Amino acid sequence: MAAAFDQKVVMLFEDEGVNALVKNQYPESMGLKNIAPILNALPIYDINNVLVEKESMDAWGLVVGQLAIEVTSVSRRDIKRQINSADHVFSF
Amino acid sequence: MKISIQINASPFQYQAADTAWHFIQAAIANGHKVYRVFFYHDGIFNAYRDSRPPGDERDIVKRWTALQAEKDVDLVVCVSSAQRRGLLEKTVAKKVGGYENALADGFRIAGLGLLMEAIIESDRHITFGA
Amino acid sequence: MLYIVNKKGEVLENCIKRVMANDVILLIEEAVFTALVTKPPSVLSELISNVAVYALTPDMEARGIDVKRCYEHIQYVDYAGFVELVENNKPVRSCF
Repeated sequence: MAAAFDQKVVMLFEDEGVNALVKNQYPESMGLKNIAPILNALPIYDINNVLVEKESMDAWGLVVGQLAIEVTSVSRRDIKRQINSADHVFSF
Repeated sequence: MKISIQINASPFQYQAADTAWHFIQAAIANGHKVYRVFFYHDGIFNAYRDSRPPGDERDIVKRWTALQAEKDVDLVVCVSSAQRRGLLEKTVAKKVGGYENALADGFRIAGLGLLMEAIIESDRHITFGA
Repeated sequence: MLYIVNKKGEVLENCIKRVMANDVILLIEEAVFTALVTKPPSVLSELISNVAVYALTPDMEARGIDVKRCYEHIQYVDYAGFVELVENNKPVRSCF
């Protein structure tokens, strides 16, 4: 939505949120929506900057190859620097 | 300072609606502009007209209605969150045979675009969650 | 950066993992309990000295939390002070 308004958007996944990106999710088995199509459509909305926090990935035993989309793994410290320069932080 | 507020949690069950309301009172008293309050996810329950808390409890829904009437604060309920939870705008309810009078005074139902607009227009955006 | 934290436990711990010098933490709602001196010590006791931690006084009063029972480095604000913290810090991140 923010990208549709021409805003510069960076999406960040941290802590247990990194698990939302893993491949081979099958929520349909519970009648729930699969977010994989939405994730794959992010570039269409000019969201090419999906970051995962390296420390969270390590904590959950994940590597970027296990994720459903292309991401950049960034250290907590570097993420903080980016966040500090943001106008707004939108949390989910 | 122009501030926009987002509320994700239902009233009475969580303190979010209370904290947000008190914050807004203080912001306005200090000369700031509260551009919009956007009710998202279970936050839409703050907009049910038929909420009837016991007489010795604060009336959260009425409090929001009064805020809009007295301070002209824009109260927007997210349409996708609302429809999923059975809070329908009057014309929609008429069309689908739902309850037409669900929305409390002072609120309007609209899409996420208004949340984005509020964030873009504001100096600060604060989310109050569960 | 201002972190507004409304819960103790993992939410507060995840915030503390990320704070850096000159950040500000505001404890609201249930999180004000973490201002209390406890055994074992609250996660707040380990915070680096150049991170200011505030607690919202109406939430403390509502819960009967006496300032005398809290860590010395905690500072206190009312809702007007909450507004000032928002005004003086950017960006603002809610942790819930």
